[in-house]
Amino acid sequence: MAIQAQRHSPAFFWAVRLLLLTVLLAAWQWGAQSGLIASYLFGEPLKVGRNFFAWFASGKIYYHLMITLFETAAALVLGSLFGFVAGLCLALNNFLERVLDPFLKALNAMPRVVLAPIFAVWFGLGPGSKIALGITLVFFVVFFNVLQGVREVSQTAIDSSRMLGADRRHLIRHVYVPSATSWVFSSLHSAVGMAFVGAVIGEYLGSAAGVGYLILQAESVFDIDTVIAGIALLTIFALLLDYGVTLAERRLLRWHPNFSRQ
Amino acid sequence: MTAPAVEFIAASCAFPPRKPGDPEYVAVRDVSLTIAEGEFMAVVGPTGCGKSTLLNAVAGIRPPSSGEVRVRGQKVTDIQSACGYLFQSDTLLPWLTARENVRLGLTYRGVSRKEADPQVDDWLHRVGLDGAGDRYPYQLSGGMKKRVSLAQTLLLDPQIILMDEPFSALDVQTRHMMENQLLDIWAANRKTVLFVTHDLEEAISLADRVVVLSAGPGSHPVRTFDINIPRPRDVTEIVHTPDYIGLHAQIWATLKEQVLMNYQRAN
Repeated sequence: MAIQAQRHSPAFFWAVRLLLLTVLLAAWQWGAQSGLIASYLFGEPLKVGRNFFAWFASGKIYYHLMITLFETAAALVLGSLFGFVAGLCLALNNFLERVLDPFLKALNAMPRVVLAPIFAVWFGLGPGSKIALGITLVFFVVFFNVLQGVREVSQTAIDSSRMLGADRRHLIRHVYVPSATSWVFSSLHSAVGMAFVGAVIGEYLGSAAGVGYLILQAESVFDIDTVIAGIALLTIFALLLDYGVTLAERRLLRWHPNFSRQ
Repeated sequence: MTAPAVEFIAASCAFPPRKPGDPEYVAVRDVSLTIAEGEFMAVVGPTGCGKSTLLNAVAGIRPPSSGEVRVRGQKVTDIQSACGYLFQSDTLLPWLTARENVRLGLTYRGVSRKEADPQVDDWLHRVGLDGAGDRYPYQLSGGMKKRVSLAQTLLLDPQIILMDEPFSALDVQTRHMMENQLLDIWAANRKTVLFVTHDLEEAISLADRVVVLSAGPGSHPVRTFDINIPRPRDVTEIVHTPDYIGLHAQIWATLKEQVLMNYQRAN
């Protein structure tokens, strides 16, 4: 299968994908118009599209989109940063790791979305509470990957570096951090999704702006087409952000056989 | 009189038991051995007899649990910066290019890239990797990686070179080439080498002296043989000389006993 697939160019695959999408949307549209699908429950692609473009035409969406993207980006950056630093500290300190291990497992097991109401009380209904929620989601993904990345370093690699004259500071900079970084990038793809979940769920549970807020408003008047347009918009931006991570990955993980392009 | 390069004085290396209550595992027991400055010493023995443990004791990665090891008269208690260590496994950092890996020891010493690079390029040239400096380890073959490791270790000009079956993972042709290259580099300034291997042919073709270790646990040197084969040597041709054949038969008789003993204990 994989070998056969090589014969076709990437453009061919894009054409097939586009065709698949068109067929699916056409079937949906046809089903909605013919009454086969209840359009008040499942929406209608053309109306979704109309709402989608109306948002951009009127410029109404930009403000809300900026808010959501800001919350997502802030949660992603801060959550990754905290996760990286905390992961590194614990991985390099056995005592601390053993003491804190059960607490971290408990925090990670806890459904963190339930924290949203508390964060709303602590940080208000603005972006602060959404960023806080996003951070709790992103933090653990990155944290556990850094822990794994540091553990993954073989004892021989460390011994070898020490024989070459490395002290602890050198080991952290030249051995542990690069190893952890490769693990963090594999986790960042899921972290992007997590950051969006934090922002949108946060908005959903109490806010005055953001794409999640728009979706909530539309849902309360049963405007399914707008709800779907909001979902489509979030999906597109999640994909864009994910692509950004891929670009950074290709640049930073040049040494890795999976990411190099020759 | 100057102190020998490396001295084992009734050194034993024990590892703590896996479960409390079990006896501790003694890998090597009561090893006394002297390696002179500039000598190429090979250590052979059955698998699992603690050959690497001896190297780790000299390097200071794991100093002996009793007795002592002295490097140039000084008792080993910590990492020995006078030693260069070539490990059996691949120890190159995958996120650094070949050049950056060779430079690593100087990077750790705070030498700037500009200052380091003439030396680094010289060593890449000496191990025959002129064009490969910008490649990452995954783009190098096993033999090329070993040569990068060799350059990385030797660039720091260590007084004592420790080698742990460095060529065991290579195919025979590549290995012979690497062995000849090692002899050439060694002949240029005759550093002390402690070379561990399970391959008797390799030991005889490279070394001035060969020590046979007994089967483990608690292994210790059984006998030492002087290898009086004139240098320079070519490892691919040396095996046909009468000197080599005689020594091989003689050492193998001693080694065989230990290998058989090791085999019986394992079964």
